[in-house]
Amino acid sequence: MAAGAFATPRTRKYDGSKENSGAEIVVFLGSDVQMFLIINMTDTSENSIRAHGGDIIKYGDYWYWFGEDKAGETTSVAVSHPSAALTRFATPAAVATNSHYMQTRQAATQMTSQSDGINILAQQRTHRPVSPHLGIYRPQVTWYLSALNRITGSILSGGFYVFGAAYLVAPVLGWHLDSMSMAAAFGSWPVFAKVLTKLTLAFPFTFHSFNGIRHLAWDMGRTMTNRQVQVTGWAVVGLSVVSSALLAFFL
Amino acid sequence: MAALRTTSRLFNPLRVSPVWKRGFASVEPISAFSEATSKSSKVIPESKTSTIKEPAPEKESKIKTFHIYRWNPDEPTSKPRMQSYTLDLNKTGPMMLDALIRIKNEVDPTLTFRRSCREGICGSCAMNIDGVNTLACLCRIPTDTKAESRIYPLPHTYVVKDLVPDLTQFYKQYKSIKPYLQRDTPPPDGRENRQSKADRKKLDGLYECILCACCSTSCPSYWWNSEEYLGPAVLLQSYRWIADSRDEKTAQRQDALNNSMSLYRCHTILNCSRTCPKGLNPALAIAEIKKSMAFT
Repeated sequence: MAAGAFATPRTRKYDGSKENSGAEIVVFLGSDVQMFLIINMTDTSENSIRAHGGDIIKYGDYWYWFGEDKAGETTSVAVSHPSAALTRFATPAAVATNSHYMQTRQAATQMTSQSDGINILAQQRTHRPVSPHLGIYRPQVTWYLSALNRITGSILSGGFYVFGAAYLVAPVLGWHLDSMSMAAAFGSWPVFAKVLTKLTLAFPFTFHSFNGIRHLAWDMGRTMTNRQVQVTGWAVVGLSVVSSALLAFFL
Repeated sequence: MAALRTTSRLFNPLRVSPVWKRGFASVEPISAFSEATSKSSKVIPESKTSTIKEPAPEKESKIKTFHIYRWNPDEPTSKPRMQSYTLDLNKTGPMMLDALIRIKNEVDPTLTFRRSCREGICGSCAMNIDGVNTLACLCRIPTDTKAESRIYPLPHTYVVKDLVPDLTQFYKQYKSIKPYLQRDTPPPDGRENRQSKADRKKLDGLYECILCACCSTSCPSYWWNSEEYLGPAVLLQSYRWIADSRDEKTAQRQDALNNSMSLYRCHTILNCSRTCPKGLNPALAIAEIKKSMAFT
């Protein structure tokens, strides 16, 4: 034992009282280290202390020695049988005043079988959140235009079906959806409303058409590098805005 | 010298306390002791000593804020939350993974994330950083300290804890494409299955995939259909075996993909190629599969 490493080695002998007969504690107190060397120790009930790999704490007037009872079957003392090896030995003064008491700390653990463990995991899984997706992903021209392609496609095809169905039932309901009456009605609108209506119809058409060319190229495995998809994406945005404006203002 | 000392000892008590005033047993009068111990020694004023200050942030420090997604399975009813951390970039490594490791080591040991190789070859630290899926070890911390970084787990995945996503489904899908060489005929000379340099070149850009799942979890189509759609990463791996000249089950591999969900849920949204931390092009691989199936 490298006692020389410690600043103030001290020896305390507990061989005077009957509670600690034959016991010897050597306490090394260093600047940041405390070390105990204990030989042939009995607890306050005169039982021999069995605490392998033990540790000693002082609480109040008592020294407590925690460890593993290796007599017979090896048990984990601190968890399953705390009282069996939670031994204590008192200073003579404390024994004289009869103020010693037992401190126990029982850790709350429970055994689970393999199948129970799997059930607990499955139960946990039902509470798992789904990580955020659409709301946090960075806006990029590629996936925004993909969404816009789908939206404009829905507008165009939906508009086509709605108008076609309305045209079919128009004679029954007495609507006038023929070209002549529609053109006449549209002609009577103010210019602002005309341009706005034409723009909202023209943009989905032009965008979906130009972007469709892009998709055809991709289906052939062309223009698929990161740079190319960005350049063609912005080109489609520019082309469709300009062409829909031309259609809205000059047609 | 000895003579001098003896002399001073002889004369000194005479000056301080005369011999006739002492008690018989004492060497020094007790009053002299009490006076010496009770007299307060002079304190050096604070103006002449140094000041020990609380550790203050250095003037040169570059404090950046990181908002990190947190969720603890031990508290299953609590909602996921964004936890903010501040780090001095001068004391942090250049990569996002360095920042995460520093937070875990020095600030909050409960922060949980996967990491292993720290050089972009294991794919463990895949996460969503500032809105884009990437490997934390390959992602530089933006030095602009005004911009706050936000770190999420891979999007639309079940969260195991904090930044750890459950990739069970992803790995099952990878298993489903049989990612290994399938051959019935042995090589003619009984040695390796050899291929030409041109055939080998077809595998470039495919074999480098490390299955980090960045691309699959960036794909909105995979977000909504991950039960059935294989996703970009697994399809790129699938094409790696379809394109391999040594593999003899190309037709079966294509057949397995020939349904409305496995392959054709790809709508060329192209988030996969934009986000791949290894610079691969899963969208192109998927396009090549579609092409090979359309023209056979």
